[in-house]
Amino acid sequence: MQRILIVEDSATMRSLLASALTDLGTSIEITEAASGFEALRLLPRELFDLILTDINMPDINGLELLSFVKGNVAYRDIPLIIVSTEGSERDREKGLGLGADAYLVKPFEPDDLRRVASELLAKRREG
Amino acid sequence: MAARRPKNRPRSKAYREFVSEAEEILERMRGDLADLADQRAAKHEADPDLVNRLFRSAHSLKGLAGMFGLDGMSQLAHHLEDVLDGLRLGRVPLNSPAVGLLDEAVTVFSTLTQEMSETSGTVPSDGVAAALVARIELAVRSPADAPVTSDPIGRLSVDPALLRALTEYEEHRLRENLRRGRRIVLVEATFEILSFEEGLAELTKSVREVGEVLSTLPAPGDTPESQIRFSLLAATDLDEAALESTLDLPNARVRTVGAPVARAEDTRGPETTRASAARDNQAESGSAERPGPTDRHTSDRPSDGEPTDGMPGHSEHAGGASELESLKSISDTVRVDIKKLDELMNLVGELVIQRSAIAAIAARLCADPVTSRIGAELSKLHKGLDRKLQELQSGVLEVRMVPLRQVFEKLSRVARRLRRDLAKEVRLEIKGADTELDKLLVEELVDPLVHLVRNAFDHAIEAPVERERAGKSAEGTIRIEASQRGNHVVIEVADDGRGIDPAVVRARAEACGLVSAGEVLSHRETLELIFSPGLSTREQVTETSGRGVGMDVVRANLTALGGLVDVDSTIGRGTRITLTLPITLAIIQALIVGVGGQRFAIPLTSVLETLLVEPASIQRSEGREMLNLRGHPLALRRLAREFGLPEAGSDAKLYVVVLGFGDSRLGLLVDRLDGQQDTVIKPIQGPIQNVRGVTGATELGDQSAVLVLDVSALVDDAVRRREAA
Repeated sequence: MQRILIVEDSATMRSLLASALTDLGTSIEITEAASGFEALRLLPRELFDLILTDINMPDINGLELLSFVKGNVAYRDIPLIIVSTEGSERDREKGLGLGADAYLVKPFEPDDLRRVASELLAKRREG
Repeated sequence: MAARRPKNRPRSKAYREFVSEAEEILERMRGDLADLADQRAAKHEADPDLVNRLFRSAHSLKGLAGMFGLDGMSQLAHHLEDVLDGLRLGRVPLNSPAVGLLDEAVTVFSTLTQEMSETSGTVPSDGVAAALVARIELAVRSPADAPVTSDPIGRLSVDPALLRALTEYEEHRLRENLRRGRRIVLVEATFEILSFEEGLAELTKSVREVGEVLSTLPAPGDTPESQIRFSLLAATDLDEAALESTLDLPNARVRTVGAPVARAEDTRGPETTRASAARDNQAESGSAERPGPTDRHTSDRPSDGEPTDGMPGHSEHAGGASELESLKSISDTVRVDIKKLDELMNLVGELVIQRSAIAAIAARLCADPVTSRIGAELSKLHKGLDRKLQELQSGVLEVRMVPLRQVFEKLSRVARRLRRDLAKEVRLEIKGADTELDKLLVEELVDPLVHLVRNAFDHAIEAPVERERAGKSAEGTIRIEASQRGNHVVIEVADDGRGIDPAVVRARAEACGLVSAGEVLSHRETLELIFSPGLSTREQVTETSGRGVGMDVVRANLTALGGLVDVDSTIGRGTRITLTLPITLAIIQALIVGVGGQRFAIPLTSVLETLLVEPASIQRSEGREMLNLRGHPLALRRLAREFGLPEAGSDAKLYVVVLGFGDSRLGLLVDRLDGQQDTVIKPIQGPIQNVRGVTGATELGDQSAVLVLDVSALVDDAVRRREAA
């Protein structure tokens, strides 16, 4: 069983992401967080194997969440994918510079998302 | 973002060729990068030839990948090539973060190549490669831009992690606020993780009353499991004093991190003349353009002019940056502090001891008819507990085990450097790199092994001309071979050099007073003299015997690990040094023996057998006690005598514990055998810790403490005593 945390303030986008990832197989459990704060509260409670996060969110932004995850020994090995509408090259660079494992731009192809996610999940499993 | 490409491509021989060539190039790059890392660590200039070779390797990879339409790999190679080109032309400094990413790039490339070979030509997906490419781009760009940029954000004395997490929009807001001459403050507060939202909302609200909240960065608190710390970056029109009186926050720390323009001077470290000149110009023009903020800044001087405040921020800067650098590695293993494993191991050890106590109680209950039923139940329970404990114990032990590979790789690097420095042709052969050993032992082995390889290079292997004259190949060979033998690991370092001349060693030892002129020593005993401290300086033995440099240190290191070191050598043919050491120092099975009123624990790994002997069968020769053990003489020592304990009566039967360490044997005479137990050796404090022959203490099932014998020291002493006699 592998656990994925989706952090995204838009409910539509959350369910789109969730349904794309559900197709990965039965051994996936998805937890949704509607904000960065919610994600911060969920992190210590469950051991996640993958985090997907938006950048622009109302409380803390995705980069700040990312910085928290990658700067914390307990979480920094959890792979993280940024899924954002920001086409901005600068934000993309920042995300990857902060240690994001992949960056997908909305609208994304579900196939692309599944491919990147399963790649990172497989790596996590092998580790 | 990754370029789209067909999912599958025709599988063909050509792909196999690509894979094998790429692997060859990558192997070469790994070696070169290791050397580059050494130069980087030593803060030397990068060797131009080395960098050029790396550049060409990357160039070849790019070409190959491009030919096969492998976009991701080609892109990655292209970026590798870019960084190396920059390094080659002096545009990228050796300490640039981009150079640090080269290793990772080679690893990713290898993984992709391997994937291709395993799937016979399926094009690997290149999400990971693309991410790495972006990071390389970023790393190449940022250090070049930073010194000349006029971006005021760079002058703030805040943890760069905070600035890195700003979105483009937030950066824009920050810049805008700086341009308007507002003070930038950092408000930090720690909350309980389960209830942080309320407190943070309150804090954010109060900060909003005095200005604009630009960013809210979470970080682990002092107790990361239960606390979370937030850093609010905010812009305000108030000065520090007004801010303090308005923002009355008992649990928050408020710090000015940037007032525009002149503040910048405080936060900048020394730089190149060109860059600082450029900055001065900017600062001047800035103050000319903006009289308002400059005035205010001047009036703020007393409270604001605290350059020391900027300094820690600046050093955090450097620390934070490198830490972030290391966080970037795409890793899916959990790193564990070895201390934590030690703690776990200790806990397991204590459980093991308590289990023994339960066994003892169960046995007592069983023995009494009144309690035998409950005793039987307890003993059944104990068996179950025992099984699970054994699993736990081997699980924890397994986690501590690491292959010797990492040490051996280090040795290859040392060898590569020596080959270059000494201009000798030497081949290093390594076998058994997968042999596993306790992590702590592996760490401790690095120095002795490096020492041995260096010695072999330096002194044992002759110059090519000399070798050819002796009818050997010009290229010398150093062979390192590790293997597991029971509970020990044996590592041999053998060379085909000039060998050790026992006559030279002997002469030297006599000159030092280590042996007297008439003393008869066997070949092996003579060779063993190279481990004596007196013999180990370079000038003394090097030229003629080719050995002796710091061998006493090697022996001391091994002994400290509970190991042994042996030497064997033939003149003209070479030398073999054998290191024997236990697989782990953690939990061991011990034989409990008794002499006088005392009990001692002997690690079972060193016990070959135990015998019951009649005092009459002990023979005396030249003042030493011996036993004829199946036709071979076995030297004996009385444990009671070693520690000055009362000895058993002269007609009492004695037990002989036959100890073996490496090739040496010793019979230890004791009064009783008290069975076997799992024990955890703990270090001793106080005067006993210096007693030779004792390695630590352990607690037994009945909760009494006993000393653990240091078998390697006992055997060693016996050998030496034999030599001395």
